[in-house]
Amino acid sequence: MEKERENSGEKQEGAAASSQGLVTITHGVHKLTLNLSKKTVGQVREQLTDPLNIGNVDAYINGEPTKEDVVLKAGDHLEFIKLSGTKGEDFKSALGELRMTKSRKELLEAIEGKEKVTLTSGDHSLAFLSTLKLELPKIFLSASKEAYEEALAEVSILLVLGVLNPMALQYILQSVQRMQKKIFNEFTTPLSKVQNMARSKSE
Amino acid sequence: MKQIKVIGIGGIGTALLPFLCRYLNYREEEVYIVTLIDGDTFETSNKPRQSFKELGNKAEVTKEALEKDFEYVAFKHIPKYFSKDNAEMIKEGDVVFLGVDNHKTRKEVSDHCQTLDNIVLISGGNELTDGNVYVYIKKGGKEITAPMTKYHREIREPQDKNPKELSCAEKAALPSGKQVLVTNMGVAWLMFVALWLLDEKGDEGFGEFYLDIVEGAVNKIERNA
Repeated sequence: MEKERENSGEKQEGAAASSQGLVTITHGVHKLTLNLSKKTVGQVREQLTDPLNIGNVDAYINGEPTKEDVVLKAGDHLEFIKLSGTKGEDFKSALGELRMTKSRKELLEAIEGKEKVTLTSGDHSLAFLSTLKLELPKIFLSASKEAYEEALAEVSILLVLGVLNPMALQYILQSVQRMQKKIFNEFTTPLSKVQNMARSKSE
Repeated sequence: MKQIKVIGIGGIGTALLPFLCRYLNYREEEVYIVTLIDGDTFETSNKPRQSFKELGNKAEVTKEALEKDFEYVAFKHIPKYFSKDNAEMIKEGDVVFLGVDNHKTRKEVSDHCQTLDNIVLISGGNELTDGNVYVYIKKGGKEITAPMTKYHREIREPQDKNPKELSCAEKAALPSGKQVLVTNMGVAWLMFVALWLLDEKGDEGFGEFYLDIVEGAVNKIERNA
């Protein structure tokens, strides 16, 4: 009896969501119900990448894999699958130790070419012992936001071309963005924008 | 006799085992055999997050400690890393708790569990302050929930290695990791919750739990087969 009531409640909730054009979006612990019907998965991803911290993860609609150009319908459940946990923040810290902890002054010196900055990562949970060593001199020798965006886009091409593990590159980009924020005192380039730039460059 | 296998006796495993064994010790319906599986050894650097009184193989040291506390549970240990080469250590009817830190082992355990007709696999992992627990259930040859490889690309196509595949030099080069005890405990608690729910409420509506310590949030998502 109780089960029937629960089921009936769920049906009513689903019917209400459907009639209002509502779509449920989940990513990890985050759950949102928004009027997003008629938008594509890609558009929703772009809108929610920053607020929900969605990385380069797979999207599923109602439990099945979907593509970026699929249009959402009322009542759909769109999930951006959060990656399974591995080992704390090894990768992030290995990657960005310098870079996160360096002061703004030191980063500015790097821009002036006084120091060569290298991003290094060797986290076994992502690409064990195929240590990733990536030099981004352009980024650190450029003082304009436009030049940063351009350099980031070049890095992102590696992602599009599949040269690097997508998760590894995601962290690189996030680290670089944090540095940008330190240097410019603002967050200048959304990751999604960089990725779109990279895609258009690689085509 | 109910067989419980715990693979990975690290931050999550050592947090899970005391209350899992307490629960099993006082359940009168069944007699439980708990097998601890891990090829790794406790080192002093593990102390901040892992409970042990002496150095040595994690499975063996933990088994010896638990059997003093829980007299109605039988304990075994296998001082080896799980891999597809020794996958037969997981058998029909087992309940498997998987608390490892690499996707390759998760895939190998998941793949093997899919070959069995009756199995419960509860797999937990965490980042710094968030984590997840995935529950795979197969009964009478029928999948009740989907395997975790269906939803998790990083497990379906692992980029890392099983610790068994690593040389000593590679193991030594592993980063020590920045983890916090509360997240290990949170994931261990959710794995225990999954077992309790299965026992008390049945297997309907199972799937994946996400946990975020900072947000103070848990989200449960169905993963129907």
